[in-house]
Amino acid sequence: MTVQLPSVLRRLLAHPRGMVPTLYVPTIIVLCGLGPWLLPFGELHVDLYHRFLPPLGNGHLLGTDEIGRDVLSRVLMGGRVSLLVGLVSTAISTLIGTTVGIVAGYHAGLARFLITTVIDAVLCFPVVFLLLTLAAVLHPGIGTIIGIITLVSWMEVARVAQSQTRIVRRQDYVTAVVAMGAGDAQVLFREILPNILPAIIVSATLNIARAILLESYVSYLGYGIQPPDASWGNLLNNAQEYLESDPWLAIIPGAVIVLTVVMFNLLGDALRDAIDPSRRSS
Amino acid sequence: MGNGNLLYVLRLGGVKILLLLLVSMAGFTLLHLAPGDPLSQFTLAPGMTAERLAQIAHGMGLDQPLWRQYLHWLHGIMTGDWGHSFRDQSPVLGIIVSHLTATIELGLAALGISFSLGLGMGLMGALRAGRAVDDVTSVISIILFSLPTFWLGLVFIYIFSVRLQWFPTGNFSSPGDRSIVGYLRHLALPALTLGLVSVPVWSRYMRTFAGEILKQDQIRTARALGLSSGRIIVHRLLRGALLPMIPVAGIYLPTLLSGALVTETVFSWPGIGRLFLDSLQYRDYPVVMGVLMFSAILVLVSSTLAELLHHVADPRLRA
Repeated sequence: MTVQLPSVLRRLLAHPRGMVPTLYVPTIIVLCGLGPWLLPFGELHVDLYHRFLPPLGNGHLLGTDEIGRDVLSRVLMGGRVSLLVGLVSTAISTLIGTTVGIVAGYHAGLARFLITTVIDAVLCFPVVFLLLTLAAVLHPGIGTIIGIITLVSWMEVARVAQSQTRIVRRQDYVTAVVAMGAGDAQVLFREILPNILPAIIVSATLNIARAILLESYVSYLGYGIQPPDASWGNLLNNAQEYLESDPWLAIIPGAVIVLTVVMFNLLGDALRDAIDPSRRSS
Repeated sequence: MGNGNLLYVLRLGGVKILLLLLVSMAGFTLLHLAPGDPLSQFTLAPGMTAERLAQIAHGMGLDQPLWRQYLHWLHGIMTGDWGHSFRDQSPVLGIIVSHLTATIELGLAALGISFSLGLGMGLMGALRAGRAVDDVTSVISIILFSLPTFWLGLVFIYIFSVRLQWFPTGNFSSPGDRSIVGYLRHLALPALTLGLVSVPVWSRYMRTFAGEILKQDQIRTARALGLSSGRIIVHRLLRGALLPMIPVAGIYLPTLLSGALVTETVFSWPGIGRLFLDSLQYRDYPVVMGVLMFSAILVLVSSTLAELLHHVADPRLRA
């Protein structure tokens, strides 16, 4: 199965279920990236005369929080952190997972035996408990969060890489290349890797969604990104206190998390269908 | 999940136990190197002397090398002595057990909601494969899968407690609420929250398994023989699709526990999830380690049981 980028993109944009997330994901990344240059208010700009403004109040599109900070600025700045955590931790865990998975898939024997059993066993653990313990004990910060989210999310990619490698390894053309005397490195980088890459990309996209969600849990519970720095999770930190009087403080950041995570999940699904159209009908 | 080979299941169980040991070692080391010494609660007490502090440390076994403390702890875990809480000196296992009922009740209610909704959504998707219903159910399942549990809880509290005032906002333990009705009113929102976010676990697998069965010849034969589609669903589809769902239960429990952790916090539900977070905050490490181990053991045992049960129930796996 060779994958042509233009045709994948065409199929991706053909359905609204592919088009919407394909447009949304770059947009939110650019918006959050440019956040500080887009807005008239600094994210830490405190304005005690304009606390708890409702959305659209006094030039604040999404209102202000309990000390008068602009909610839109906070959401965009929080998005920088949350997206950064999602993207970087996914990049690292994808690299680890792919390497481990290929090794396990390529060589039958002890390595595969050990790796697959360990992955299956780790996947059975209640990960969030472990994640929170680590976050609570280690020094809080972006680096720590990225590290621990990576630690609990490489297994899924590894499993995909492993099973895909095994499938590709058994294909006739790979057998032929091996029979012609190609070395391991040549088979791995020229035959296996390009062919398992689509599945890896799909898995990584879904992984970003999960990482953003995990960050929001840890930060919401107070063990992630620490105030006054914003992240999508810690914006909801105090929101419960003000739920009765100022519900938008909880609703808006949460809605942004949901929207973004849904879009990454939809993008992953749409990519899967676009890369392998035969799945669509099944 | 796929592999139902008995040898594999047993082997996996063995690896899980090894992994459990590793996790316990890592957790134990980490919590002991962590800032916030267990003694710090005593240092500020009035009239505290260094001598008395050393005595307390000795009493808690803190003056011994770490590996000895670990072995002591491990021995305790296996013999039912899970240590004592730093907060009030009560036994850890007792504390966990006393919080367990609330979590089990919440979990069962959530299970009922998510299983029935998930089954229904998966079936609907499979029976109308490729059509609008299939699309809608799969998008709903993606949305539910993407919801942060705490946020859904907050939204429910806002809609049903603050605005509509149908349900209380939490605080299950408030006096006068011990009646069945009061209890159910407290249970409703957390159970709905936890149930909804775990619907996709069931619906996705149900959609896949039922879809596979529908493609099999026996269903086509049954349809050709004129059996109504309602009977097909009941007799063939459900039986065939529920069988591979057994190991999914093993996947479900970790999801449920993690979800309960957050749900219990949002709704002040007195279960082990909230116990865990409270203990983390108070640096009550014996309890933190206790809950960590307890939940891991629970998941390990149940997932292995689910795999074994699947093996027993599905004759094809025994070949």
